[in-house]
Amino acid sequence: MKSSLAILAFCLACPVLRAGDAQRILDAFNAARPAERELGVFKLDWADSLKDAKTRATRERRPVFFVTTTQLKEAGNLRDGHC
Amino acid sequence: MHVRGSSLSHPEVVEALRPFIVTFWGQSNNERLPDDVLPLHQASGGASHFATGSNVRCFVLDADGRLLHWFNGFPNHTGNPMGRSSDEFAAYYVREINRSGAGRTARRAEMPLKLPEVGNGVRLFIRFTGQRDAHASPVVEAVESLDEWKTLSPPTSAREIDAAKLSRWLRLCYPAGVNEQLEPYTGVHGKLTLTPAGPNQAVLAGKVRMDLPDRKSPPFDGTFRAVLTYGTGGAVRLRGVVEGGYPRFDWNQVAWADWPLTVAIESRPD
Repeated sequence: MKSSLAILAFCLACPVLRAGDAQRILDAFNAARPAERELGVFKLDWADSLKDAKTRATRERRPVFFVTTTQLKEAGNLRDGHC
Repeated sequence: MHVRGSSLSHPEVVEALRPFIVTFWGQSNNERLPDDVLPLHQASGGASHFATGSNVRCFVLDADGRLLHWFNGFPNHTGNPMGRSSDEFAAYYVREINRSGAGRTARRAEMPLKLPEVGNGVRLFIRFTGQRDAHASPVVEAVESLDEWKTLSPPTSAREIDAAKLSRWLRLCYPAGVNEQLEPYTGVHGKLTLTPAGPNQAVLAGKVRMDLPDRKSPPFDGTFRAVLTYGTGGAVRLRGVVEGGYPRFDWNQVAWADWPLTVAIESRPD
């Protein structure tokens, strides 16, 4: 009887344990996700190519800032960060 | 890495570039420079990167595409970015951008935050923790999901999930870094457990190991934990973290060291 009660109590407690796990994970996520001030590069007005940038520049009468990288195995993505 | 993390992310450079449309082009495997890029390189000392002292060049063009000013991506025409703080990088970039005069009269655009986005998938924020300047700058990737949501369907009881089934997400959990890892992990291993955690919610947790493309490198070892909340019509909201030690070779110690790496993963759309 006591062991049955213990098992029942454990089963009832499990959702509480998992909810505690869930909150710890959410807290870790919130701590890991960068704040907006750390994502400044994504506030720049990016164009996908020099051609697109120049087309928009002519239309909007704005200058272009263009970065090139050479001598690398992979071009990478300067905006997103894997470069 | 240093151009993006130490310069383009700096608040003063972001403000200086407010009038500009920003773009980039990267050469892969010594491919030929495109027809619209070659003239800019020729006008800035030649196509070879030896002409300027580094492999990064920055160009300012006016609204009609004419070259106004160019400068080396690294200060003082040296290819070595080490030993300079983000503030020094930023001051250099702001000075050079302003030398062009292009931003003075141009319309200053609003600058909403525009993160990489997908219609149905996840977004990852990847960065070293405890590091400064360029090494602390987060990488953000967005990945469309194929059958990952099916793999993570609501559990009625705890079930094991092969981490390889989430490899399209996990293979991207590597940091920014020139001369370091430039491609996704080549292998994803580990066993995760998906456990019910209350009404319409489950917890996913377990250890993961990812193989770096450089076979001489030790693997990345870490943990992946996530909370999944299930809505109607198959909608899933995921909030998770990958945490572990990313192997980097320390040339001073002549040994491998682990740099703490953290990845925040969120489902998209929210």
